[in-house]
Amino acid sequence: MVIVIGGGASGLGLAWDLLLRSIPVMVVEMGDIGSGTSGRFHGLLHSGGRYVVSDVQAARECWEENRILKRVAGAAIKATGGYFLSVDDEGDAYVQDWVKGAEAIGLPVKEVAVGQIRETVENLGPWVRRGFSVPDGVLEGFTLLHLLRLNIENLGGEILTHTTVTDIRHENGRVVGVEVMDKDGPRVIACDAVVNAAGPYAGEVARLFHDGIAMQLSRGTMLIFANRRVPYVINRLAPPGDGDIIVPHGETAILGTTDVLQEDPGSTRATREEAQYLMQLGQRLFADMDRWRVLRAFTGVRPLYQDGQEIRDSRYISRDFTVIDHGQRRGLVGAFSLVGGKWTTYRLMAEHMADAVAAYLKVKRSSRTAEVPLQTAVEMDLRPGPTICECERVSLGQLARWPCASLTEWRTRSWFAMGPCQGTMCGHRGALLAMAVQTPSTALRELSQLRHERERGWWPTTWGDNARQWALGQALRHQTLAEEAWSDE
Amino acid sequence: MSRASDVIVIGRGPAGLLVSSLVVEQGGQVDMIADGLGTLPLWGGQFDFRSYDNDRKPVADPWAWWHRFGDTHPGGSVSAQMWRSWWQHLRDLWFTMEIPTEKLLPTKNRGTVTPLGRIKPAFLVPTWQFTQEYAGAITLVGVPDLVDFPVEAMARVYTWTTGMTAEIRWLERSPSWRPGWNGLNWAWYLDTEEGRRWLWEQVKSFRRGSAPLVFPQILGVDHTESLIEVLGELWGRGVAEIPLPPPSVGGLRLQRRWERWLRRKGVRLVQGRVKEIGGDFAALEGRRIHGGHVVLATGGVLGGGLEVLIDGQVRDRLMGLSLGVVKEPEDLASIGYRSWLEPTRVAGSALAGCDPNRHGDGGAMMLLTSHAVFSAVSGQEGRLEHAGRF
Repeated sequence: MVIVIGGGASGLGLAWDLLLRSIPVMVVEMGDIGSGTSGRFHGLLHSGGRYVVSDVQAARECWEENRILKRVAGAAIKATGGYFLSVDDEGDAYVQDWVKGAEAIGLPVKEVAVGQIRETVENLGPWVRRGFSVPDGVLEGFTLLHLLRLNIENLGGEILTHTTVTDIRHENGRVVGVEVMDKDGPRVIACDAVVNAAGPYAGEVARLFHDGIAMQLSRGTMLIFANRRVPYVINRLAPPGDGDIIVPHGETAILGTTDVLQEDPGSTRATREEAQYLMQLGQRLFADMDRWRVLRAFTGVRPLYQDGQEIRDSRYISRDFTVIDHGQRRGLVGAFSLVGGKWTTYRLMAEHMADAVAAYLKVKRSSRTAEVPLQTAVEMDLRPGPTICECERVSLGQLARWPCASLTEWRTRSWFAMGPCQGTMCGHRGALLAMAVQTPSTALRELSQLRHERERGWWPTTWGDNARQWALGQALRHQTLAEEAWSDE
Repeated sequence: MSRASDVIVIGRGPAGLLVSSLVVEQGGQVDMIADGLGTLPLWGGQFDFRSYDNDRKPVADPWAWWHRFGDTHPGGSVSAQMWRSWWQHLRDLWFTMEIPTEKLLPTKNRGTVTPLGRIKPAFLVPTWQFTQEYAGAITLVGVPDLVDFPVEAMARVYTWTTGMTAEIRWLERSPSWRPGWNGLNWAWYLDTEEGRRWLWEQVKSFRRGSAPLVFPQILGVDHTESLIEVLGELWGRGVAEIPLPPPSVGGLRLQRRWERWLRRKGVRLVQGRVKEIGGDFAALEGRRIHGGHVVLATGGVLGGGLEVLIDGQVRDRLMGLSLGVVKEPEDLASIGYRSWLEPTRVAGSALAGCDPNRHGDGGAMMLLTSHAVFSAVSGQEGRLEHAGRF
């Protein structure tokens, strides 16, 4: 059996790939599914347009994967299309290079009159000069993660959440098991190979393999607006930079992103300064952005990898993603790391990693993830029942599909507590519903965690109406519901 | 030519209502201007004195608590006698407005129950709200599909926190019930003859119990007391309510009665958004209202009187004044007017230094600022008597 460390896109993608090759898998995730980088991105399904000048290899992969994912993971993808817009302070030279780059990889781009774009997008800045349509799309991260989980579990793969790998067991330098810790304490799980798909924590996990890898972590902060301000993806036609992508996501729009190196893999608290900075950049595309109703800010940590050492698959020396076989370096045999990459290419990353693992296990089957579509859940015919979350129209019946879920899982599966009131009016309802299967203390603790999680991203964007919403949320939480106060027993 | 009033009050939240009441009680003429519904219907109608200490532990005796502040709190210099007269006055005022409260001012905080089933302190509340001196057994009334009052979970939390039993009685769906009914829909229904009769029958059919019967706050908007009286007779024990999240029926009851009283006293209530104010006028779209003084009771950040800008600056929307910059959430409580006298009269939550979320002192903040503003405007206005009320 293979143990995969990390329940994000690459970890679950890898588990799915291995299971399709009939290799048994267990995924160990220290938080919830998607609680790391995979749940903290802008939702852009790249067409590759962003990289046609700077990183042709990555652009090619994105375009290829874009088409594959629309085929195999259609339930999690909205083929909205997108535009690259040039703003008048960018040179024509770059635009020409960009068009040439797109042609070189066969990306279908088409120039569209700006006036025509203005008809479908309100208040585009007057300085926007040219626009090109691209087959960008929207990748609903949590939907795809939950889809992968469902398919993995259907094939007998096991996923342990809130479980941390504390050490690797080995005999004669060869991996034979992992030591894990969960709420019930430590235990050992035997395995034949272990793969580090821990995203920003990959450096720490690699140390357990008696090997070190040099991760370069970079924080990317994004802003979410409460309305779907654009019907398709808007990119700024310029060398990839900060605050130059707007992605429609459900009823919201996400503006991304920043790129700042940092050391701490767990530091995902967005700041007011970052939010202000993004607003300044976003106003280059939309002059009235300061009047858009903002919801929250969030930060993901990109697990970039910059290591020149022996790389197993030499075709992918691109800074894009890297497959590391620690047994061929100085580390344990049967230990692998999958680092770098981007959401759009998670499947390809998983395929290359699975090739390496399968070769190690002497399994000859090749990847089928590009052909086998992910099955969606059978929709149970449940009485919708009363509405629990008015903002996102989540009914009791929807939550009842996952009777043992945590508030976090209910949130990422149903979008409960994700709307303009950020759980003000429904957080307590969720907690009390959860009490059907939880003790009062657990449910109230989860409620407190939900409030803190929401406030982390809410506070950096408390201006205008969002500040009033914040004030209402605080008063309701602290006065009406007195959630945080000591009780007078 | 419109008349000029003595005082123009902008805002119809609790502070605006109280300042207006103080002025008309002294024979003054008031124009109230508001562009929204006021914040009262957001809350259940509970007025807190001081609910929590600095560690968020409940305060039993808020009277004693206020002596400890000194200069550290805007209300620190107010004497116990002054507080008593203010609270007593509010109680008396409510009495004349037919907002029922207990005969005597509370000497201590009592406990009420939240929709999470936990106990929290309460000071001055209308008698329809459930309070108890010591936690005892209760009987909760479940209402189908009312998601803010999930009685099974509440009962578990109540027993877990207090050790006391919490039984449950369920209402059926009334014949008029529609999917999506919230507490307010129920309350309007229970104001009707059909609704009242239906509820009597329901309670009559309840299995008897010996504990007070605790409803969610749905027992009518305008005819609550008579309904509760009948239910009390049917049940044989106390009947009371627990306030729910917005739209809150308790606050709405207070506002309707309060504004009805003000209108009877000749207060004009003008609906509109004030664009500009001066020392003696407030300008709305297309018209100007004149008065001796202008009082801002615009409700701080929540009410919309203070706005937070993208760079964190907090600005008074009407005065155009910057009051400071927020960096951390706690800053919101400390940013506001330091003094309610300058540059204009400011009442309510635009005052810096009170933090009702943390301390449960919202009622005290309203009293303090409203009386201070009243004392300032009446002291300068010849026609208003300020005959040493206190």
